[in-house]
Amino acid sequence: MGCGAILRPFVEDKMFDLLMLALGLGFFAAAAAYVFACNRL
Amino acid sequence: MTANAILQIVLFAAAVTLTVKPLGAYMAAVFEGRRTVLSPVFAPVERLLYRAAGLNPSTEQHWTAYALAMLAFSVAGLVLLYAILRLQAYLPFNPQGLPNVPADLAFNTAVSFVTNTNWQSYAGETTLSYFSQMVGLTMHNFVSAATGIALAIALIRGFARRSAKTVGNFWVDLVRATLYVLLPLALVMALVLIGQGVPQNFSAYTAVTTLEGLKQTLAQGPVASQEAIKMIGTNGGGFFNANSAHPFENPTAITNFIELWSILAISAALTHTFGRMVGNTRQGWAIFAVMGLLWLGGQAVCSVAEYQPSVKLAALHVDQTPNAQQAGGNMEGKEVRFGIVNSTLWAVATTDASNGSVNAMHDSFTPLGGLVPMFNIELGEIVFGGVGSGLYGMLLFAILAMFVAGLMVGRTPEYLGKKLEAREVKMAILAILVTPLATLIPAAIASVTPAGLAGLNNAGPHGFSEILYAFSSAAGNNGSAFAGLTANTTFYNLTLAVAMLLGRFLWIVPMLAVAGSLAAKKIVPASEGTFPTTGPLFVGLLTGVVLIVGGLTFFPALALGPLAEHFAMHAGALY
Repeated sequence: MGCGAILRPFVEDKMFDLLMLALGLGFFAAAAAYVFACNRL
Repeated sequence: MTANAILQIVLFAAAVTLTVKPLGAYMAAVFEGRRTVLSPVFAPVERLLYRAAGLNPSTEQHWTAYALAMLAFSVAGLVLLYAILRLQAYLPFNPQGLPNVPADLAFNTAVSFVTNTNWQSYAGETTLSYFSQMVGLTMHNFVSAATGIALAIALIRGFARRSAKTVGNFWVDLVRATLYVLLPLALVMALVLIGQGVPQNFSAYTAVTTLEGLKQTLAQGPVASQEAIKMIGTNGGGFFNANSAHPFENPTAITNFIELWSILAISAALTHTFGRMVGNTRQGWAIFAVMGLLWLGGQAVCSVAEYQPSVKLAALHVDQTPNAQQAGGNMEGKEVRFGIVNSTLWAVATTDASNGSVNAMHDSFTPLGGLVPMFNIELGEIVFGGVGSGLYGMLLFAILAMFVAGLMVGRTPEYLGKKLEAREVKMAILAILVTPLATLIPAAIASVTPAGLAGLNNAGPHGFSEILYAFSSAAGNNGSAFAGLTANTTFYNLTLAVAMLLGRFLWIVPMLAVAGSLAAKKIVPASEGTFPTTGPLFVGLLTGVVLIVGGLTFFPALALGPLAEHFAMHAGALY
């Protein structure tokens, strides 16, 4: 099995995977910002 | 209720109470870095892990660094689990050849296990390979539970320390919680479960012919190892779709009792850990008393409601008295092996703790019986609660209770010798508001949009209860389902995932801010005017604040759901 076959799910559903990744990472970035906001409050 | 039912409730309460002191004292020793009976086994492993990670265990972190480490660990776990689920067809230990998990379901599941929720929009036996179950889910069952314990310990240090800038080291607390607390308990419990008949293998599913001549596929796999930490770590995600109603997850009365005990064991014992670490075990017992009272109230209402005879059958003069031949009351959706009281014991414990496993279907409970699990979750998962998260949640309510007490007598509120000022109260309020916001707003959206309504299997107030329960469960990081709601849709997978993230991390950040703020304060000696926080007055005040602040927020929603259904049922309408 080549590398391309393993990555197939991400290629087939690329937009959805990107959306999930953006949602997850975006939330944690916002949570990190919230840490600093709470520290200043 | 029968005498047998009351006896079983008393036995369960006794079993949980008896282990509070030994387990709580052991955990205090672990997190204070003292030598324990397991140190000869785990201390070398612990040192090896620190060396491999390049970590100095004596280096401590400011609360912001502690929070950022926890967030970094969680996001790494999220990405790893998402990748495992999306690539499971190419990974080993997949004898059934199950395909990759769709993107939205993989995201929902990854968020669910990282947040210690274990909401399952899928059926484990038809969706996940053994690799996904073990390396993906079971691993997160350990580390998400360990994260909760670590965070509670950080808050306890905030109360226990004076004029300190740090609250501990997240990585050290995570390793110690996993190695010294969760791993040994899970190992012993898994062996007991195997002894009782729970499968632990990597075999393909077995095709059998039933006595009626029909073909049936028996799903199996590494069940015992996942079952043990699922219960001890208040995770709740079942190996099988039927969860602990499945005979391979919960085969006997003994496993049922052990699993029930394990739902509350660590969360209850952490109250004693708290008492020990702040130097006054009576403080821990006071918190335990509040949790115990709230548990008992829920248990009484739920059991009495489920033992009530069916209104429709009573109209037909059907004998519904509990006796040797019949359970009596409401047996719909319950395992006949466990009966009514073991179903209500489980339902109340699993929703008091943020466990979320089930051995009966809450959707089939009477309206008032079903209200109790929902209400338990909506209190914020603080009645024992999730491992660690229950204690830190209850301590934030204690801060709020002392603030209320301070307002009443006109004194600056203090708790455990720490002056509670505007910053601590603001942070506690920010955390406590998360549960209603992350529950009610998405539940309202789902109740009026076609995408939300499409998942319903019941109309009227019962349908609304299904939606409300789902978002309560997600925001409370409980993970149990009311059943009856088709949640494996893009709409529910995404909205529930967001509710889970908000419910977990927006509680944690202000809670850690409180820990950091308290750690920096001096400890004021108790005086004549100090409000005693070890007596019945404090227990009553804290119980009242939990019920009024935590519970009253949800009263209008509960009136539209289970309460409306209860009155409709007595008027002859069923949903």
